[in-house]
Amino acid sequence: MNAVLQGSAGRWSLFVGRRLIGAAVALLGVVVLVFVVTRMLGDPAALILGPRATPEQIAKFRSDAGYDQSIVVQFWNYVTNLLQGDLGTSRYTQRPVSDEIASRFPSTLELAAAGMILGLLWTIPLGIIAALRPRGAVDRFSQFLVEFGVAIPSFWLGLLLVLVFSTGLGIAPSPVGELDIGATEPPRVTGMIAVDALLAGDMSTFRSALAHLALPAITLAITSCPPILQLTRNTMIEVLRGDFVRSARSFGLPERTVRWYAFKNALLPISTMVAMTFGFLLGGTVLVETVFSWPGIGLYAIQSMQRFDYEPVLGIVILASAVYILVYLIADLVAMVVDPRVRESTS
Amino acid sequence: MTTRKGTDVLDDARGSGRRLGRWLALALTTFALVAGVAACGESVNDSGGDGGDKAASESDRGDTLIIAVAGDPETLDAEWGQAARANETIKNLYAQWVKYETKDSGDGYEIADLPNVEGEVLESIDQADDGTVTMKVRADAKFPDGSPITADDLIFKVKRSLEMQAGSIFDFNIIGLTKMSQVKKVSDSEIQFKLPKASPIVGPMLRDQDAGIVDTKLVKEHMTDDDPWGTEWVARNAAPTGAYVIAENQPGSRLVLKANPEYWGEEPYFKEVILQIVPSPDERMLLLQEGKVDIAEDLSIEAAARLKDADGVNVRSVPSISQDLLGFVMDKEPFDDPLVRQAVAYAIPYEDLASGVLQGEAKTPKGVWPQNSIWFEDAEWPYAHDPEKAKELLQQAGKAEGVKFSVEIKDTDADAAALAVPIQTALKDVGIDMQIEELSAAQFTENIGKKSMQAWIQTNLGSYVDDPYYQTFLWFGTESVLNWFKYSNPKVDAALEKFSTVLPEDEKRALAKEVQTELNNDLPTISLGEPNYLLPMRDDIEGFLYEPDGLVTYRTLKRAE
Repeated sequence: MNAVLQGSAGRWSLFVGRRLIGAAVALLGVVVLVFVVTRMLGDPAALILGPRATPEQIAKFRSDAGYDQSIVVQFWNYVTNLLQGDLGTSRYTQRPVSDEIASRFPSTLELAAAGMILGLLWTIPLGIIAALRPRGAVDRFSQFLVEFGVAIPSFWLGLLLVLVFSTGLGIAPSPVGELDIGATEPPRVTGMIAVDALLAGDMSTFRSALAHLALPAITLAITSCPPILQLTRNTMIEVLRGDFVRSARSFGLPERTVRWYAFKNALLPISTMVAMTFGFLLGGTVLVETVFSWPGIGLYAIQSMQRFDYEPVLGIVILASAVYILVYLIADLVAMVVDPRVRESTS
Repeated sequence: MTTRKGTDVLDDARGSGRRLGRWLALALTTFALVAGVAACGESVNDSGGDGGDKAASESDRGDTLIIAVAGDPETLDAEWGQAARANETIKNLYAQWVKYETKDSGDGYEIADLPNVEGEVLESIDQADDGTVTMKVRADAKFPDGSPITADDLIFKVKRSLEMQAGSIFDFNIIGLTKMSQVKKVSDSEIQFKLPKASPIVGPMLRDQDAGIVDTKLVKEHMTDDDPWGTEWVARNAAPTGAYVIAENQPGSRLVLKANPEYWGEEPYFKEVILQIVPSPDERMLLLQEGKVDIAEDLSIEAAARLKDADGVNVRSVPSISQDLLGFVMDKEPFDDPLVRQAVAYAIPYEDLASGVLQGEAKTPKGVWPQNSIWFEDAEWPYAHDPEKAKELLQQAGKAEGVKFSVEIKDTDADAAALAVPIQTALKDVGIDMQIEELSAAQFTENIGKKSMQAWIQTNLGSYVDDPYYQTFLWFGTESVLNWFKYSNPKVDAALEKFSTVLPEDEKRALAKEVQTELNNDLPTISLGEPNYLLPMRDDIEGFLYEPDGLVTYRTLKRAE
């Protein structure tokens, strides 16, 4: 028994170890790439100090920031600090990047989670129904929605929703962030305004937060989740054609039972796709955050890029990549738990 | 056994059917709820609770002013105010030594009565012929905690700037103050600057936003061994002394200012100013049109001009000393040849640019010097759109076969990109092939600083101080930091030396004309147009004050009753 457990634990450790090494290599690749690209965009010293800066002031700034060293030395220093959890300091705000990200990430998390929940609620049921009658009316409609969702730029759909529901019909609030202009935020607990308002029992702010969350979340649900619908449909069609489904039907099992079994078998690739989509959303929904003035890390990344404030850009890209890799890793682990075939292939 | 299994399966089947049905029902219900919640927005806005919307309508806002801006101020430390967003915030947070006197523009707003200044923190400022500047602090000038501002606080400000080698050092260096030994405390309320010679721009430089007085006690509380001047804390939190202080700072979302109850000047009408961050220019325009905000800032000239016909919106259009410039680097071919520069000047369709790209909100140039400057002189300026003359000049230059060059622009400068295209077409007509290279702002700034490009276009370039010494020093002196043209003219440098002293006005004006004639002859740059300063605001906002820096002053604004 102990040997079996040890064997199982060993397999898990090996699997997780391999994945972690892979994740670290991927992350290092991202850091190298972004570091080199940002340094190629130009020296930010003159831009940050303004046009009246003297050559001496620029030289001092570059020296203080370490920009006068070779790119290899700069990279080594950055990675050394990174390994100690130091993402650097914003050259503009003078705040540690980790603090800036920590204050804005909950907003992105809130929006991504809302978009994801809404996305799952329409893509998975529709994908299943579409798969039951391929080329039927629902399937054709779902294909139209997939093509629409994939083709339409998120910022354009966001603007359209604002024009229709806020400006035109006047039934949605203006796109000014998480709350109305001048509204008081609830005491910060999680950093997610709707959750914090609920925890504080402030229903007026909670309703306002949900109202502001609605349009950006719908935009994300429509533009980011169609691949889930497509994968659900395709996987379900494939699974429903499988031998075990034929066997189940030949045993006379009710169709609903057969479909449920089929869905459970299709769940694995779907959950991977869901994880990938969520990881993508957590990386910062840049355009949607810009349209809706949503103070998340996507908007912060854009502002930092515009100011050539390298450290926040690097920090956000590293965070986004880390989150993506982590979510993907969790999806792999879940797959290993729920699917014996994955366990077998791993062993 | 079989029966039991069948029962399980049937249960499973019923369960799965119910689950799918529930799921669909949940999906539909949630979407309906989301739509409903969004629809609740208006009723939420009207609720008046904590989540209530101050932007509901202008009349509801009363003494709260809402300004839609593109982003956070880059810093809240007065010493580092070098970017437009930070500069405006700093101007409103920090009391300056002096401020411009104002006068009625005759067009419904106030303008700075250049070059006259009056004290803000100072009660008096006197400059002796030998360059000794004696300044007395107002007895009623106080920090937000109620403690008085004294001579020591003014000395602390200068010391902080000089020792930090901060951006604000420029304000002191240009008047000849470079070391602390030149600063003397006369009494608790009086200090002196010992300048090498009397400077003509002491007043305007002490009015600059980054010359603002900082709250000494607050800064000292946050000075550490690693950060001897408390820059990190001040950049994030500010150490204000002016008409407004920080009430709330939510980076990425909004910055809320509140009136400083200890401010000794005229009490501002708006007790609260909300700088609401709305990154999309379209959204900023929309919010202004809907009356959800009072002022929309950070718009291109094209976007601001589009708001002129919007209901309830008043676009303030003020002649400014800003210019859209095509600059030449004069030691780079082909612009080392004055005939080529002149040919370009004749090839540009100024009228078309002013009425087209610049939306009729710009003057065509009458020289290198901006014509709205109080020091503009009608020096000879022969250049108008004349393609034949341009071709003739190229022929004289021995370049009848044509000329090719690259012009660099910033990718964030929408007006420069819009101007570059018709200029490219017009130059092509006379045989000049102009390649447009769009660079990142950092790359552009680096290149222009190194003067590594052949030519560049930048829009809305202007001096914060309208004075011939400042303008010549800044742009055209051989050693000037902003002489991006590599321009060097001994006559201009000699004039600069004279400008740096206090001259009688007629002499100063004659010298200004001399310099402008030299510049028009040498053409280190061509003004493509002189755009008006445009500020779209709701039509119930009054009390607008225009100063040469183009930064909005909040304390003078009022809402019409």
